[in-house]
Order: sequence, then structure tokens, then C-alpha cells
Amino acid sequence: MSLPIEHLAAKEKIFAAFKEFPLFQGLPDEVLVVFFVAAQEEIYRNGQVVMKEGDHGQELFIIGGGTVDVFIHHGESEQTRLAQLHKGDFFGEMCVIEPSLRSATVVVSETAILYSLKSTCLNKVYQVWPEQQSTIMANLARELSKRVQQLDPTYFDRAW
Amino acid sequence: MNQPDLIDPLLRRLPLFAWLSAESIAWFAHYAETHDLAQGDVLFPQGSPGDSLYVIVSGEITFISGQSEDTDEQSASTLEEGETFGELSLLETRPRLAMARAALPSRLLQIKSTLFREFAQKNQDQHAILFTNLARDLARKIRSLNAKKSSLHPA
Repeated sequence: MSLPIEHLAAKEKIFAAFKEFPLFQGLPDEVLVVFFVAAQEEIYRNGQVVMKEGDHGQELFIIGGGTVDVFIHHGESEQTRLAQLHKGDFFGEMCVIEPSLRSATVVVSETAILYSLKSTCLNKVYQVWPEQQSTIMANLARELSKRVQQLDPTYFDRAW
Repeated sequence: MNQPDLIDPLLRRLPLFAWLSAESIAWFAHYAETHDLAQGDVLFPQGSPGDSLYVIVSGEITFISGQSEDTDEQSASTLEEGETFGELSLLETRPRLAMARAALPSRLLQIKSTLFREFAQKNQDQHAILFTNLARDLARKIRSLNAKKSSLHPA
């Protein structure tokens, strides 16, 4: 059992990390606190599957530490690794845009701390702070645009 | 002078304008500017401030970026009628990485980022829809690029 003071210091550290996540840039502390309290922290070991292609998505995941691999057709002959994601990256974001099935399987490749946020939590935040929806969607779009650029290096030639 | 009767249905078909109210679409149709380019005309040079979303009403636009002046290495891509470009100017203005030139006689619709900002101040909820559409569009692009990658390079 940790001492309360150490516990508090650990919480402060996690909150500071939340502030650094690209998805949360520009959000006021009062909104960040809501995400901080609502987010579920989970630790995954190497090889553990976080989400499976084709499943119903209810939450998005933010990587607090560690590494995950993103696959399509995981475990099949045409299995392809699409990306490797690290601290600060997120995945499973489509469900906060519209109800959808997972488009890929995510497998932990280096012990990972993940924070999951349900799409319903984001909707509740929008009800209280409607002006923050644009901020979150802009952050999401900005990060997604970088992924498009990685897949198609001519994309930024046309994006501005 | 604009022709909102023609522009309105065009905007309505764009994924970026999905779920926007008829009033919002009419507002953009009213304030958007149309430009006609002859074949070979330069729409904007590389390095100019990227401050507008464009919709290709008709024609074809080629984007040419010089990767390095030493080797004269260039990359080019082309967009056609019904496609949009400059959409990230909704988020922020950045210097353009490529020059845009009309590969065919082309008609374009331009919506300046200042117009989007003006819209945001008056229509908070509608602006959130617009940004959600932008994110959705990008997410779909990633999905289709990934699908292509997987069919090209099966592991």
C-alpha cells in the first residue's frame, strides 16, 4: 500500500501526461480532469490483444507507455502490420466519430499502459462543454492527417 | 457574383459538409468564390500561405512539389472534378508544399479559412459537425490506404 502523499504524486504525474497527449491539446483543465477521472487505466503484457478487427468499438485508447502493433487480417495468411504506436499515440478513435466496427487488430509488443475512454464519456463532455467538441475533433483530425501523410507522402502537397 | 443555385447542391454532396443545416450550406454557397482557370494556369505557387479550401467544380488540378532543388526531384499528383483540397487550412495556415496548376480548363470554388472562422463564431454546434466530418474523412482515407497497402504487400 502506498502512502497517500506518494499516491498523490503519482496521480499528478499521470495528469501531467494527460495534458501532453496530442488529442487533449488546448482543452481547459476542468475538461481534462473529467477525462482523467473517467479514463480506465489498464496494463497489458507482450502479445496481449487489446482489440480485434470486426468487433464493436465503444472506446478509444491512449498509450501512456509501451508499444502496440496494428494489424489487419491478424492471424491470417494475408496478415499485414499497418503501424507501430507509442506513448502519446491513440487508437480505436473511429468510434468517437461514428458507431463503427474495429478496422484493425491491436496487439501489445512492449508492456503497455493504456487509458481507455468511452465514446459516451466524450458525448457527455460535449453536452456540458459544447465548445470543446471542435477542439477535440480538430486535434483528432490533425493527428489523423499525419497518418494519412505517412501512408501517402503526397497528401500534404494537397492538404493546404 | 456567385450562383448559389449551382453551388448549393455541389456543397451538399461533399462529405465535409455532411449533416450541416440547409442554412449553413446556403451561407457557404453565398460567400464561396468561384475561379476559372485556363489549362496551364497556376492557382498558387509553392510556399504561399495555405488559407483556403478548394472544391473542383470541373477540370483537373495537378500538384507539383520540388523535393530538392539540387536533384530537381519532383513529385506530382492530380485531383479531379468533385474532389477537394486545402482542407487542413480549416485547422491552421501553413506554407503550401506544392504548386497547383490547372491540367485542364478548370472551375474551382474557394472557401477561405477566414470564412470558416467567421462561421465558427456564429455557429458553434455546426462548426463541431464540420470538424467531425473532417476527422471522419481522414479516418476513411486511412482505412482505404491501409486496405490498399494490405493488398499490395501481404506479409
